[in-house]
Amino acid sequence: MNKEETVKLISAEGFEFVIDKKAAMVSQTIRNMLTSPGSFSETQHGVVRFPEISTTILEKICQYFYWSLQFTSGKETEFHIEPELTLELMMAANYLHT
Amino acid sequence: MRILLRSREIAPPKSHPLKKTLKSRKINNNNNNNNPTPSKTQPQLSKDSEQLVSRGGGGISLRRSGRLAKRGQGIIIKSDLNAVVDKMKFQQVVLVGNNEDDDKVWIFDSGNNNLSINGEEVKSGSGGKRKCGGDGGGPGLDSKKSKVVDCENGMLEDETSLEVDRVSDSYSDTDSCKKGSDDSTLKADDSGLDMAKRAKESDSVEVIDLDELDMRQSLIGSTGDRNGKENTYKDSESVSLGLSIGGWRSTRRRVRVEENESDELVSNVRDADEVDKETKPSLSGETGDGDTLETMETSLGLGRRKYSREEKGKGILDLNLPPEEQPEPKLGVDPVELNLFPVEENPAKDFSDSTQDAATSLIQLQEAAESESARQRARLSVRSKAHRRRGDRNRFQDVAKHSGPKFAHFHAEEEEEEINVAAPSADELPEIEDWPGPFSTAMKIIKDRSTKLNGRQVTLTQGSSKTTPVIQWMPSTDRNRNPMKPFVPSLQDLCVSLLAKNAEAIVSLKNVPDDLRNTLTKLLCDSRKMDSHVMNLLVAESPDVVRVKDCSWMTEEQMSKTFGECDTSKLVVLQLDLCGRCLPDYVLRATLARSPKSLPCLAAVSLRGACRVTDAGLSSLVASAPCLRSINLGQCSLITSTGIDTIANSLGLLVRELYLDDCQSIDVMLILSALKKLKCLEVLSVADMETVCDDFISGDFSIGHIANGCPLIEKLKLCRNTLSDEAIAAFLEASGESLTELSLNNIKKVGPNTAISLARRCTRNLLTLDLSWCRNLTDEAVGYIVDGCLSLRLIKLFGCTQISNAFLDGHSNPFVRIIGLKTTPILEHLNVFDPLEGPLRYSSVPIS
Repeated sequence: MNKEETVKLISAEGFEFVIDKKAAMVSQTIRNMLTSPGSFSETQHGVVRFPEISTTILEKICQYFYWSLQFTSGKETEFHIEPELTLELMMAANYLHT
Repeated sequence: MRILLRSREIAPPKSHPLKKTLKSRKINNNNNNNNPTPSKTQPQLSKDSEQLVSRGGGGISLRRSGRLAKRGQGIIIKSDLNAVVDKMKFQQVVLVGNNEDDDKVWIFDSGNNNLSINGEEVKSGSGGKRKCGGDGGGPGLDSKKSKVVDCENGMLEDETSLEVDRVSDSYSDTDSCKKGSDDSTLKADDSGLDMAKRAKESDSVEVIDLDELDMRQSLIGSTGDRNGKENTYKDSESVSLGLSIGGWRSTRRRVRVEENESDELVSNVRDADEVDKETKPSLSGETGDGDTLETMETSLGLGRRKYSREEKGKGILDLNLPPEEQPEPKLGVDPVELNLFPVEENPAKDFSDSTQDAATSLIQLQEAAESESARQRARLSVRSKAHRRRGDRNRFQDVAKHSGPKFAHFHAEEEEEEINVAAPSADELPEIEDWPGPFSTAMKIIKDRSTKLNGRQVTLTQGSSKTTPVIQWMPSTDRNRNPMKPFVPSLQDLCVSLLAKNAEAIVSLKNVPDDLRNTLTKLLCDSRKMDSHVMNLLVAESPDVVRVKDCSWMTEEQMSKTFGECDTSKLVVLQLDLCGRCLPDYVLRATLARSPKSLPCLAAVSLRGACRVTDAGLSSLVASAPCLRSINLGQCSLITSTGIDTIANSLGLLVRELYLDDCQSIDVMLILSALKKLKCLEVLSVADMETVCDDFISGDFSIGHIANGCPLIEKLKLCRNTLSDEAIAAFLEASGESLTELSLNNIKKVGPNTAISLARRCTRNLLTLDLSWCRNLTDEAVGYIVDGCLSLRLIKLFGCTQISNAFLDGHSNPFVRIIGLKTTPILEHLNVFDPLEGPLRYSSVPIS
């Protein structure tokens, strides 16, 4: 994974998740951040911070991104969600428009 | 004993000495000298079993008499093959039934002019030998494509007779073979089959004639599915002899029964151009109904009364003419109309139109002169299997009912006649506006448009006195359509579904944004898992938005408890749809409307289905909610125009949306004055209200008024009423520009005028368009709309089966989503739009 193809997502606790750009683009919000013509710092550095999203949730979200890529490429599996995460995950997903 | 029967009377040239009577005439069977060569001999009628009578002169006419057949009597076949009927020879098969001991199957292959009996050829006439019966016969029959009339006796009941079985097999083969062929198959063979069957039981030989019309019907019908056969009977032309029809039908029915619901009887009728046949109604007494029976008896007279061709009401079927132009038979006697199938005539007629088109071979009938004396009829005494027939009849009626509409064509003029719009004349109603508003101007323009085009084009609709403008729209042949990508479920959806599944485990919905709550409750309501636990979660802690689209599960106690404790001071949007059970007036007063200040912020309320709320309850609600901007009172059957007046009086300047769908007690004409007071009205829904009519929408009244007074109307639902095409078009011209959502669901008269107006006026704003069940719209019209309304994102076309792929593939609007046609996935539209529907979708009041 070169630098050019990755983005870094930083959770509320400061954890950094480095994922493929393609995976991050699954989220409409991130996509807009990274591709908008304005000069967002996110665009420039490829780093997005999420101060409201906790680490566990963000991790799950990254897993979802990769699962989604897999799904579109044909491999259709089930994405398991731990029940206790569900509510927060839903809200985060809503925010990220994913 | 089975009888396969095909009777087609082509040209009965002369009378036969061996005419049939109702009595027993058995046709000599088998391998004797009954060579029913068309132009030659007549097989003798022997009295014992079967008789095959062939008349010289070229045609084969067969009579069918189900009753006779039933009795095991022989069927006399008159075969008159026309000399003209050259290549297109009928193949007629007559199976003569007789007593049990004498099962024979006679098959006359008119194409080859040979008769085969019991699977063997008796004699071949002009053609080569052909085996009709047996397995060889099947394909053999088939080979003569266009003229083979095959009896299907595959349906014959289980007979022990080998011959019959063989024939059955052959016919089944031919049947299947036939299916490949493009000839029309004569389903009339049912009757033959019937005859065969009946012959089994009956004692007399019957000569069976099929009325040519019947034959045609059956031929026509044969191309359709079997069910269509039923419909063909209803063709008005075949009313000539009711009894014949009845008999025909009954034979068919009979056959059905005995078919054990297997294959259809197929008879291929060869191209009629050269085939000249006349068929007579079968006089079989298959009719289980007593009435038919009697009519047959009486009209026939018992015994051997011969009817002239005129009396029989035979007509000539000219294949080259469209069905409408067929010469009508002249009836010497009054036709007895048997209304055995309560199917609309028109559908049947259309069915026969369509099937006739599909049929490749039709019978051509000869002139009366020949047939006069040539008919032989066997009168059969009716032996009725009343019970079975009745059962069949009901079954077939159902089948006809189901399949008739399948083939029915939409007749605009019919529909108009049926709808009795009690529109008061313009003179009677007081003029509200003296000056022509934009609506009436637009109305005039539309009418002029029609008359202008009137001079230029020929209307194609049958008998329609109105001319409709023809829309020029060609489907584009550009084939760049994006392929469908697999639909990945979003994380949000996954979570919501998981929550809905485990709703009881949710402890709190605090901090959950409203749209997620709404999504969750919507999902819960859809899956019927909504309960008061979630309800309590929703109303906890001073919510802003409570939207429950289905409160039917809630009881009055739950309602009182939940909302009694609820702090409604911040409630902005409240949706309690389908709350009829739990919300009578007193509960409303105890909970929501407990005080004049209980709902201070309430901007949108939806009480759809609050069928126990009366005008009084409504007024208390209105009193408690002074800021209401959107009111949905759909299906509140107790609300009358008084309630609307209350709303108008107290909230007249605020109300932006008013939904009055299906409020049965509201007469829209009475609320016109109230509607006029709603100056800011943006959304008006009067769907499903019978009182909406052209006057409601016309220049001087209501929506016309709304068109003039509320030019900013954004969403309009006008469903299932009798508005005319021009009126809607004029309204669109006048006020359609601001429309973002328009529903014309089930307004039958929507047509080209509306389409043109839509495409011209609603180009910028129209987002969703519902044209479901508007069957008057053509591919061109819809294509024109879709290409013209550039902002259109969603078009609903449920029930518009007249729209074909020409539209689907050919329209050039890349963004529009079409739902409702059979090629589009039906549930995807649920994902299309923001699920926030209902109150205040368009208004500026924010829904948090």
